[in-house]
Amino acid sequence: MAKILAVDDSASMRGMVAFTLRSAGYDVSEAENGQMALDTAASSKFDLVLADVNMPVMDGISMVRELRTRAEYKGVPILMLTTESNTDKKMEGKAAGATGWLVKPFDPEQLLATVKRVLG
Amino acid sequence: MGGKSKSEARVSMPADCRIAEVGVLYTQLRGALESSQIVLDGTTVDRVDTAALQLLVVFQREAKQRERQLQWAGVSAPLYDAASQLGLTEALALPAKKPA
Amino acid sequence: MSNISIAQFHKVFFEESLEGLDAMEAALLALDEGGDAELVHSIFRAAHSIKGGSATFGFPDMAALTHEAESLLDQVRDGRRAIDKSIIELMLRTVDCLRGMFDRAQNGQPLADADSENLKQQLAVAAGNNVPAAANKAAAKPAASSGWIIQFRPHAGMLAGGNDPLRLLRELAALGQLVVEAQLDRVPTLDALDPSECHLGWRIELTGAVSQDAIKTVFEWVEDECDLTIEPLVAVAPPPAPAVEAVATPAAGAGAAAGTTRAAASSNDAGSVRVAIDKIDGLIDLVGELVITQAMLDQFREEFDPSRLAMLQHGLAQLARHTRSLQESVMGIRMLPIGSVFNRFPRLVRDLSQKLGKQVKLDLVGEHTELDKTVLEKIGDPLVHLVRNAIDHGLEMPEKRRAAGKNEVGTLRLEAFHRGGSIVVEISDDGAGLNRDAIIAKALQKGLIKSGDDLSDEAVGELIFQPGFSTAAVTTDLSGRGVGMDVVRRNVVDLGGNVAIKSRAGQGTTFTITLPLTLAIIDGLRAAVGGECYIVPLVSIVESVQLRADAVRSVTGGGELFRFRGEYRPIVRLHQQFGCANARQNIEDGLVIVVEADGTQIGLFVDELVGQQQAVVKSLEANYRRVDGISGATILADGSVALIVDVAGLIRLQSRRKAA
Repeated sequence: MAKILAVDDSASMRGMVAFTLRSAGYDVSEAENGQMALDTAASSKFDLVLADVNMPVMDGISMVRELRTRAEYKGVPILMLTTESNTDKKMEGKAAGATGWLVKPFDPEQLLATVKRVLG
Repeated sequence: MGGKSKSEARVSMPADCRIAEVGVLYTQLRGALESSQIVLDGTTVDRVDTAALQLLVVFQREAKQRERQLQWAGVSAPLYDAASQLGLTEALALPAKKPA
Repeated sequence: MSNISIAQFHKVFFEESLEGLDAMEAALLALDEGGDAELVHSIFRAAHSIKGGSATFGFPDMAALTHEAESLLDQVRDGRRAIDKSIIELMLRTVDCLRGMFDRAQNGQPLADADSENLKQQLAVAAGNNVPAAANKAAAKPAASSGWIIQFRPHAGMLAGGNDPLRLLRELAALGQLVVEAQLDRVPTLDALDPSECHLGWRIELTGAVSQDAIKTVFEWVEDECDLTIEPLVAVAPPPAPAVEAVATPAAGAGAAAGTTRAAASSNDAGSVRVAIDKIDGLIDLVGELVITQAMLDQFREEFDPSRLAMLQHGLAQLARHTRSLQESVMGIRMLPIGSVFNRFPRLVRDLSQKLGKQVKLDLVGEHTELDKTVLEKIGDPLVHLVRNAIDHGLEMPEKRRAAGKNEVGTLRLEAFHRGGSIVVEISDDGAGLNRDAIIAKALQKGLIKSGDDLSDEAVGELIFQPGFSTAAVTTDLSGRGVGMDVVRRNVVDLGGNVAIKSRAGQGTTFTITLPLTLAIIDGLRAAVGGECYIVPLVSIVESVQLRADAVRSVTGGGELFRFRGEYRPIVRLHQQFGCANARQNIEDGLVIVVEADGTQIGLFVDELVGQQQAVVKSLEANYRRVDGISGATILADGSVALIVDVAGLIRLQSRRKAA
């Protein structure tokens, strides 16, 4: 089953995402911020990365930019978990190399539909 | 254009045939052009994307231009589906029939 | 799958949110002490997390409140708005309100209450979000079509970003029947190919009852990463082209009209001011803020619920703040650099020094210092006089300078700068300084003083400002223009300013002109006299005192004196001066405001002080006629008129009265 990395500094949000995806059979790893995500992504390759935008230590956008410099993450879908008010952030994320976004709030069904859409 | 060897080249496409892996395939395909006969094996392809199919299209053109003999040893269902979805079956000279 | 319970994450969400609120509160308090940008970021993050979590975990009231807080914080974070006390205060209240909401959430109670709704509204107002959203969605609804022709050409980098056309086409295929035609015309040779770049394009026919929005949703993430056109399969009539021309014509007309206006304006330059664009932009921003505040206050016109008193107070405070900013900005429009006045001096100094055979180096400093337009127009003559004076009397002849061990070239320096709420213009020379003996001799001769023995240097300097005083041993044609230093001082005082002199024998003289930033507005104390109201400019006020009857002495000729700081000062009873009826007569019943101008103090007797206020000065001469002791008038909040006391004028009247 596809491997997914969930990155969010909020334990509840991260927990919800991971729980939902695991329930659907995905292999999910978690990271608390961009830096930890980069470390995790270096030791294991993921098919999809879901990342919050605003995080301490390293934000989601810097994380995407860094991840895209790695050959093995070329073309790997990376979705930003963002809020509707943050249209600029969507574009900033895209410019950094994100594939798309998932608008908060989302419920488990929406999350799964988007993940399925991206992973095929 | 260098002299062509009479040997046959066989390129087996990997199961994961997507953008991150396509560099290896690119090198293999360029090497294969040294041979007059080239066999592409797509039987084991499980995952394929536009980048890989585009590479195959470009390779087909190049082979035709250099008058190489090119044939498919096998095409997996995912490979066929992808090519068909992208409208590339003709350009890739895939067998007309979808494999079982 | 659809039965995933997210309630299990509530506890974690509450815990982390309460921690986030603690952090937010601490950061807000640190910010109040003057913190840095990182604090703003951490506050934003906390609010952002709570917003996202509350929406996800089913607390829409909390999400709505934090949404407003977040958008206000976003403006601060982006630098669109400076953090100020009012924002910090609002955010601290948000923290408290959210804590209450979490409390209620844990007890299963409804989250929103009157306070939270009220706060949400205030946050929205502060963020400028209460303006109804623009009707963006009113754009023409896509016509239903039996199918679409999609032209899709990805940019080279789209594949690396994780958007595979294969996926997009599959999504389209899920919408309806697809006929896909790949376009290979831009595909490079194998050698030239970067396999991670995309050089393919597609023409796609999609048949089925599909909305254009559904197609756009498929391409939502790649809008900026491809060339995309979506057209109905059945051609529709193109929009009428002439519409563009119809718009263009009036625009050209407006341009011509604007040109005419400008030409007219420049031919009538005397009454106009050139204003920098950024000043105008600042004004427009402020007016926008005012409109928002007005809209907020407007809500109270229809009905007023006492529970919303805090909001009303907030709105009024905001109105006051914006009005003050607007006032400052509008005043700023009248401000022009003093350079335009300074510019005339290089020539003047050169001509004058040549004529006198002196060598003078002119230093101009602070040309960019801005002055009120009216002040600027009126300060030219006094400055010219002081500069002439400095070259004529201050700076010595080269041989005399050499003999004194100084550089043959004298230095004359004009400098303008801000000090407190004033503009200071200094004219200094490194000449001989005031000739103390000559001044004292002259003053004795004129009967201005009885003896020069005890005079301080300041007192000697003051003498040259006395009417009719002339210091030059030989009257030159330069200074003998009938304009003395008394007129210079008079002009400056009329502008609400003052002139002081400082001199050191052999080292030079400095004249310091202090001018108000603007003439149009003064800070004043409102004093009641009889039924009337007078404004006493704050800058002139030393103190106000209540006198006992025995502290006042009558003098022959009808005047009164009171003892203040060891000296006797004259009292001017405003009700007598201006003829007010029903005023308090007994000195113990009223107040004496000690005021000062030109180094002289007097006491103004009034009934009582009513309060402090800023007064917009209206000319009395322009609207009525000149009145001694009154510098202008202003309109009070209740619409009545108050007169502004001309302290310097009253002191002059008083000394004249004394002399008479």
